Amino acid sequence: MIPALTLFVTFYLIPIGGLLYTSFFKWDSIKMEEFIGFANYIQMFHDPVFWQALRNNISWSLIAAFIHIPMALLIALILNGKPKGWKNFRTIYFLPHVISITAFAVIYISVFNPSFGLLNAVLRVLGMNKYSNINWLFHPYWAWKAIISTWIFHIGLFATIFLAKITSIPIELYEAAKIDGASPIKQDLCITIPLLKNIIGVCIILDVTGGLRYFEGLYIMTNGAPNWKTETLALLIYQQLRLIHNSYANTVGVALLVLGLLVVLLFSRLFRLGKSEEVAE
Amino acid sequence: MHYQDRNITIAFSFIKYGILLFFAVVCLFPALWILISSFKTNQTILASALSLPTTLHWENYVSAMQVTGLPRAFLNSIIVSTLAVVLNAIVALLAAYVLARFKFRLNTALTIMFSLGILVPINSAVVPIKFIMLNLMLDNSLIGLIVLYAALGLPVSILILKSFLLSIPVQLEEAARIDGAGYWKIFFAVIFPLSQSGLVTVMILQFIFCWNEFLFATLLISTETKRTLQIAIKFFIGQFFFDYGGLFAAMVISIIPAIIVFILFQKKVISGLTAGAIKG
Repeated sequence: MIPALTLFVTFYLIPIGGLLYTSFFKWDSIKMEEFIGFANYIQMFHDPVFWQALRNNISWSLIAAFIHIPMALLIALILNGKPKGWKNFRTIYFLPHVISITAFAVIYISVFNPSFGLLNAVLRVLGMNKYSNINWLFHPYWAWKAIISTWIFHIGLFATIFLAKITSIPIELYEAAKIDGASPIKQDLCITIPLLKNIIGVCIILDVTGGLRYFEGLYIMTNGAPNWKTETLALLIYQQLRLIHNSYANTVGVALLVLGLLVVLLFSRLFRLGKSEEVAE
Repeated sequence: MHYQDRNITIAFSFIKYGILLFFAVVCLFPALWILISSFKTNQTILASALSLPTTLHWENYVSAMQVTGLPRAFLNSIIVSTLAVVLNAIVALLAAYVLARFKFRLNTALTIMFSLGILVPINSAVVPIKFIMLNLMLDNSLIGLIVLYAALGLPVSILILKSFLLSIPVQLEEAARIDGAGYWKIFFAVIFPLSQSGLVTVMILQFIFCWNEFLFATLLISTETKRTLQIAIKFFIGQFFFDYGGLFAAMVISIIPAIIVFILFQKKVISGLTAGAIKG
């Protein structure tokens, strides 16, 4: 136990404690400097980049929770019917989660390339010439949408999780419903989804917190461009660190931490995690 | 009546397969496109994105290996990932054993503490971690990365192994204890062999995490020769300038290992990545 505790304390507890502590100080070089109270926080709340990043984080979280997960659920329900070749589909869907995000990011830069990229080429073939010359990752309107599109269709992980949980539902429930004359869709709606409530909540939390952590793709693809439109808190922290604005970085870090905790609390409450298990027993 | 039902069913199947195919295309196409394009010459790439190469231009791969620090970065990633995974597995198993078997006052508190480790966005603590590494003289060192990765992966590993150990019957250990075996003997002779399956799952999971990790690698490593593969990938864009063929070839080389591991260990990989969610 001791090695585990040492490592955990060193790399989880001390950093987070240090984070909170130093956010109240001025720390712009190697040495720590004076105590300046909430000045860092005031600076942060006045920073428009911070608000843009926060907006982006929130929008990301909402999309993750209310579009990404439901899509994964839909796919899981379809795959549950075991259509022909469903195992192959499952493998293909899982692929993006195995390839590193960094690699995907570099690949996507080429995909979004205005002249020879895959996306624009396909658009040209489809005849949508109005859109086929856009430089997606640098466009003030499309950049954020492009970033979202790089992960929103990667539903493999959660779809697989849902699928595994679905198979653990006793088949008698479905048979009873069928006798009562319920159509397959009705069965899905009234039996499957309610029973999956817990795991849906867990997945939403995992997805949203994963989104808060997301850094690699943003750093490589846009680094906040154009004009901070694709900035997020995680990226901001790293950028500030590189500028050696240590204390400000830590302040934003605290903000990110708080946001993470809020998300977990919010969705735990929403889905009443931990309680409905006992009810179901 | 039956006719209408049949038509609706057919229409449904159509829609279902349409949806499935759409997602499959989006998931697969970028990687596939890179693979195909890596065999084209630069002119062909720039001219027509969707065409198939007429001949296989392997020279892209040659230049990919020469231009970048690929081989070196590859080696670094292997070293870091393997050692971190082993360290993580050992430490996690020890901790999981304690949490699973021994009832003491801090047990629940510790479990909760480790669980929070999964949910907390450790990105926020980037600066303190850098500071700690500097102070421990582990900055810009592969060993530092190894230790950090092992630590970051602990919460997940501990939780997976703990629930795994809880499902192993206690009788075996009790029998060993009756035979007079001490704590360590029990651990190595009984627990360790029985945990093989759980350990493999955890190790594969951690390996994928370490291999793909980018943030802390970029943060801590500044010497070119110490870069891990992911850092090297990031620099490809600058290094290849307009040699897109070379860039694509380098990308293919970078993602092939992950794909091979996935195809070989498919079941284990999937169970590992999903176990974190299902058991937690």
